[in-house]
Amino acid sequence: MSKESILLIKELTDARGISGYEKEVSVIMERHLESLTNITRDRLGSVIFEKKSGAGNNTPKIMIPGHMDEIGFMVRFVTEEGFIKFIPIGGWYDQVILSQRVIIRTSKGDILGVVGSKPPHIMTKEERSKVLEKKDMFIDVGASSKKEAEEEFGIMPGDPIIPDCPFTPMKNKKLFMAKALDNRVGCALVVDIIKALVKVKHPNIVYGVGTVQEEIGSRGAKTSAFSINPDVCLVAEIGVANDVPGTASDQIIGKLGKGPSISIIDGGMIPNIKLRDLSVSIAKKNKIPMQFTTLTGGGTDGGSVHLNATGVPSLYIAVPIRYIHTHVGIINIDDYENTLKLMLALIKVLDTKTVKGLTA
Amino acid sequence: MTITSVELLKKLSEADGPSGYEKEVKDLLFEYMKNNGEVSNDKLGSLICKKKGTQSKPAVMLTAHMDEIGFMVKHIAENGFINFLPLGGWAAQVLPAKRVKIKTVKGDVIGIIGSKPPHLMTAEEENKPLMLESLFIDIGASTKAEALEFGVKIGDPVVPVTEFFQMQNKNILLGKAFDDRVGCAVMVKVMNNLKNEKHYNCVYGVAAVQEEVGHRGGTTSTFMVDPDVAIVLECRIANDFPGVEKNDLYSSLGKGALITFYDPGMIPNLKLRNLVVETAREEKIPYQAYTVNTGNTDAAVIHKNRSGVPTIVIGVPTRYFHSHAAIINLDDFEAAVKLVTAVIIKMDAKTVNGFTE
Repeated sequence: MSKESILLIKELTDARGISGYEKEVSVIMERHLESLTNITRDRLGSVIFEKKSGAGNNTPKIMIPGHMDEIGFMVRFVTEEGFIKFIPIGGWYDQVILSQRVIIRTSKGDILGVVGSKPPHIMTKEERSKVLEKKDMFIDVGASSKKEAEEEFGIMPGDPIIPDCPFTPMKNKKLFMAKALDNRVGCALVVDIIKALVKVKHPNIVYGVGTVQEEIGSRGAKTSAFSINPDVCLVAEIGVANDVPGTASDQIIGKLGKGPSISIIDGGMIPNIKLRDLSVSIAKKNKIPMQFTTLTGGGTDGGSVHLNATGVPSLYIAVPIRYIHTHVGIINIDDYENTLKLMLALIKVLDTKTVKGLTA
Repeated sequence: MTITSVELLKKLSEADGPSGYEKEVKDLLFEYMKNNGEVSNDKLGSLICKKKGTQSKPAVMLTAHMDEIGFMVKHIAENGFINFLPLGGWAAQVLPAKRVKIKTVKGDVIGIIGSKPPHLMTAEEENKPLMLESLFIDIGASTKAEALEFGVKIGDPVVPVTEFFQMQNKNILLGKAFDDRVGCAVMVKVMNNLKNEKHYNCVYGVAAVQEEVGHRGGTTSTFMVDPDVAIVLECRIANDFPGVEKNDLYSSLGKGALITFYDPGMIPNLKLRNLVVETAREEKIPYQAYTVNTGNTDAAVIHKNRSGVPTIVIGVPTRYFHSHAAIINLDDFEAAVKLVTAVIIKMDAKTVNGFTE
């Protein structure tokens, strides 16, 4: 277990960046990779890290997108009484939002607030058994008027709102709790893959990408794929681990600690079958544990990238995470290490002949 | 040709052109735009007017869509009634007893969307929302043969009938198709303004087709223009009317142009957004920040063109959207024209390159 990777995941998950506001995350990735790669950007803000191999310019282009944005909220307006009304950015379930701590990033700095809730003492019986909807919620920043919130605190419509939850090691040394594991884990994979490739030969050019705006429709993946025009895409992402009480065993699509999840279908993409099978055989050959996953709702950047130009053979390989799309997820660091190993082993075999064969 | 804003809005509002059938609007816009620059088309029918300033780059795309929501004849029944398909997003509730016009090869045929009198309704029916599929148009034909004789054919476009109207307060305007003829009018006014201004860029005024059915002309015209930056001109929702709680207010009439900070189709480039806000403040143009969880615009496709395009939506608040009769305030319209003109004048190569640095 690499201490460096853990520190990297801590640094990336603690960074604040919802869809459209990913700057803080891209700065971290750039700092880690600026001496190792050629850095460019697409015009939506995705960062592209080009790692050549010395094997020549005509070798296949491998795109590895990891999206930088996390789900969060945005300020709609401040009420006369100084409370903040917000809209969700990305897929939030109403029940996990109440009484959570959030950070509003203003031009005057970060302001801590809490999503207000009614104590049960003053709820009617009906209210208690009903889900409160996001549109009826508000954030309390402790301002007593609109004027105070806007003029003194600097809160304005459009300001991003980020969940607040520090990276925390758990009792089991392999497990960590954090916000934004979706998808800073993917960003960490991009950084670690490129760092590892510096020391080895690979028969291709690797484009690690920190993409923007995945959570609202894989927008940065579309524009960065246009910029790169890749021959193959390996999506660096997290997946769902639902090995928890209340899930029937036949409904489990991912388990913590059982290795990378190779997706056989998700809401946005069916992987290139030859690429999928190749990754399974590489895992076996290298004795890397793996599991299969299926996601019927929801997709990844692969949904955008595999449709680029005349089509791109793509595969979504996931690090399983519990409780995604909430303030706190849980990761097993072994799964991260094994996903990294699998992706590196795969990159090493993706030479010109193999890549051509994927679409032959 | 100088034309007042009210005349321009009246002409554009009363022109008929649902998605896919924008010719009448396009001909009108061609007349207003031909002296502003070099006019061309994309292959779906969007109109593009290229107006070069002192520089041929950056390419600034200014766009509004020409199509209005309407219907299409789906079937002519044996008894002469017309079944129709919606073109764009209609709520069935706003349709019964409304006048519509079928555009046939033999000319316009006026009809009415039929409805059942309350006398004939059961208690259940009265409380049940209407379904679009159950509605029909009555053109007064008593047989299919007669309807055909009127010139009505399957595929004919159908549009709302509403006369443009200046209300008691002369600044308040009522009409059909404000979405997005108001945007088209903003574009014409801005292009006219630019004739008398120095601008260090090349402006492409684009009137796009088929927005209401899925940003189709937006996709093709953007491919053709290949813009470095884009401004989308749109009607956006004003809901400052009874029944809406203060906390659910999107925007109000008469409080200025709308700068979109968020909608489900796009998060604007932040530097561009901030430039627009600063410009409004400097020029003392009233504006409202628009953040909504519903509805989107051609910006949804434009900003994802090629490797990405910094894009902003500037809107005019509009009450009673997607119905026969919407209402706008002329002051908001003029504020949008002024704001867009001022922003374009600022867009030199350095500023535009800075958006993506």
